[in-house]
This record gives sequence, structure tokens and C-alpha cells, in this order.
Amino acid sequence: MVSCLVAAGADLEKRTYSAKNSFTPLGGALNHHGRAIGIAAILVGLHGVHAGASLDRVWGDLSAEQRLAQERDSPHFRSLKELVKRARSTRTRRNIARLRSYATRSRASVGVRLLDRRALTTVHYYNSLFGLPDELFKKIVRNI
Amino acid sequence: MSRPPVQGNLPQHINEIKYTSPLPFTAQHLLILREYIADDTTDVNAFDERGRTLLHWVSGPTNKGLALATKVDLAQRLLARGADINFCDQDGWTALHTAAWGNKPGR
Repeated sequence: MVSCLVAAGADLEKRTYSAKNSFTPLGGALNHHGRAIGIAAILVGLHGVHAGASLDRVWGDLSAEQRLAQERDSPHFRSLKELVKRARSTRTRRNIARLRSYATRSRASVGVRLLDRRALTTVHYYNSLFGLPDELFKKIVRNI
Repeated sequence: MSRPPVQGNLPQHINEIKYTSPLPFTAQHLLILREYIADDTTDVNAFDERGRTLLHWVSGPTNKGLALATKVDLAQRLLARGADINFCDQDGWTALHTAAWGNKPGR
């Protein structure tokens, strides 16, 4: 069912209205509520990740990794962890390549948007991974 | 933050079929559903009092009497008729949210 809906163009970033724990379909799939996460999570993960679903803020402010960390007992934990890890590293490499491309054209700035099919990340956000002051990060990026 | 209660416009007989769950879902129910979906005058985006369309119900884990293949078939029929795949219910759930929430093998 999940693959059918994703193939038909379902929005993978749509969040529920809940003020406390608004979540994406991926976040919903990773939610267990006393049950082991199942095939649906794998499917949403596989199809969602390939279709460019964001791995950040899937459940409230939790990322897919943080949400998954609460599911260590699931029989699918390892598969999902590997899936998320691979998707994250591919995207990081893609973003670094894009950042480098901006830098060589002297267009890198803290405001440059890194387009991730659906999720738009800014250099500012990207820098949060490194924890450097924005201006310093900007200088480093220009010298890549 | 949820929307105010909605006035559902899904026909009563279809609503009743939806709520037969967890009672056995019969071939007769399936026939009625298929006829309803195939009918050109049908609004495939009609929703119940929670703002849920037939696509939400078909995708979700509450339709226990339906086999996965039947659910997929119904979903494809609805989509072919122009059902809005990103239609949100009053809590902001789309059909994909309900499908993903199922969390059970084969759902």
C-alpha cells in the first residue's frame, strides 16, 4: 500500500497538525506504540528515502536516527538503521559536492540554499553539523 | 491545533460499510464499494465527519477484513478516478500517514 501511494505521488513531507508531535509519514512508520516497527517502516523508508523524503524532524523535532534509537528491540532495527545511515551519507556527500561547486564559482554564502529535491537546506543549517560560527564557516567554504 | 469538526459528505451507506470493521468484510460490501467508486457521479474526495476520505480508509490499518491486494486495487481505482492523494483529514493525516501507521507486515 505504501509503495502504491508513494508511486502515485503522495507527499512525503506532509506533517500532521498535532502541535506537540507533528510527524511525517516516515515518522509515523517509525512509531511503534508498543508494537515492533514493521514492514511499513521499511517500505516508507525505502521509497521515501529514494524519493527524497527528509530524514530530519520526522517526529516532532526528532530526526529519523533519533526516532530509530528508541526502537532498538525491533526486528527491523538494523535494516532501518543501515537504510537511514546510507541515505544520510549519500546526501551529505551530495551536499558537499554542491557546496564545493558554489564555492568555486564564489557564490557560497551563508544564504546559499542546498536543494535536496524536497528538503531545502541552507548553508547555515548545514553549518550546524560543524558547529562553527557562520562567518568562519563562510570563509572556510570559500577556500574549499 | 486540529481543524474544527467537519460536516462529512460521504454517503451514509458507504460510511456504514467502513464501520463494519472489525466485523467480516463481505463480498457484497466490496461490490458496493467498487460500484460507488466506478460511478461517474461519485465524489471520490467525499469525507466523513473526521475529514477522512475513502482513500484514507482503504490505506489504513482499520479495514481488517480487506486483503492487501484488494486494498491496493481499491486505492488504484480511487486514484484513477481523481482522488486527492494528499487530502488531509482534520488532524492533518494523509492516506500515506495512515498506511505508514499500520506498521504490520503486508500493510
